[in-house]
Amino acid sequence: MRDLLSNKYLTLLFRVILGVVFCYAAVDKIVHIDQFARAIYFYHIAPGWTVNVMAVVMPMVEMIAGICLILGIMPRGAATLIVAMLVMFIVALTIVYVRGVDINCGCFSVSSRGKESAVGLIWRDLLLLLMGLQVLFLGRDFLSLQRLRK
Amino acid sequence: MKKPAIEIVVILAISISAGVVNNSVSANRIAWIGSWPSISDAEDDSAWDCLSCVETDPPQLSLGEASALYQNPEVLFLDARFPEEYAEGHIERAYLLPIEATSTDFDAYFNAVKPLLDSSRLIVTYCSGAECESSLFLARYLRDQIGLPNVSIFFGGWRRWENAGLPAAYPNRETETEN
Repeated sequence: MRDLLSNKYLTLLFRVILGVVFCYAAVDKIVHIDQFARAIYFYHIAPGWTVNVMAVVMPMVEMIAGICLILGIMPRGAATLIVAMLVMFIVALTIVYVRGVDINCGCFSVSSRGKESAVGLIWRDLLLLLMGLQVLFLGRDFLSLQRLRK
Repeated sequence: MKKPAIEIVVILAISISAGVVNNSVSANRIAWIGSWPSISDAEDDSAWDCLSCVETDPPQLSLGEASALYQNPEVLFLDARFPEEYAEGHIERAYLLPIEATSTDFDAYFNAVKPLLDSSRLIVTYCSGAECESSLFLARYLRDQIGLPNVSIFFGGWRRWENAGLPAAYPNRETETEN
């Protein structure tokens, strides 16, 4: 079972899926920083003074970590950051779900059309989290730039 | 320091630098430290104020003002959200005018409500709640592009209205009941 889970092709697949998802999710937020700040604010979780800092930095972390995962540059560090962000998203969405607040999650799009149910989003993030944990703890650096350089 | 920790620091440093550059050159740049109002679930309408409005924008209505205007059937309520959100539930008697829909779709909805748009009539726009701006965009469009002078915005929106138990319609539920 462990051999299957630590299969190098599975790791590569998960790296690409996570990388593409995070890069795609980052684009709209990087372009519309102002609207992403609103989306963070309306979670009513982060202290007001941290909202803009998060809106400026978080999409870039998603983008850079996503690119690093796809190309296999600093894959452990990138996977750690992506796992940490996914845990943060799951906690935030759970709080929103428990509170019963209907918000625009700001996950992939900052427009109100991007609304999805919190439960569906939590399941999706849990699935991505499992992929991230596989890359982090069981993954190998198959087809990574870092390894090819050695 | 172990290798993953160094990698994390490097990725964060690149991300912070890229974020600073992006926010410096972006057309949608924001202040580095935001002055966001504290929001509680208190029954305080000020918590639902528009954050992106400028002084010249159409006036905002509190929940009390919007519900008082609703008593007058001549006041036209326009729902600026998408059709699927409107179908889930909307202010009773409100008409759909999804300002963020594609221009073809919007034109079709606009033509449907056009006979109701009168410069002497008071129009109230709303969307989901304070986090959305569709009501603001629709109000600006109606005033600035169509030339309607009496447009107001109810920023509490559908969520505030529904939570207050005010008259509402649920097209999807009605369709399910019929089936």
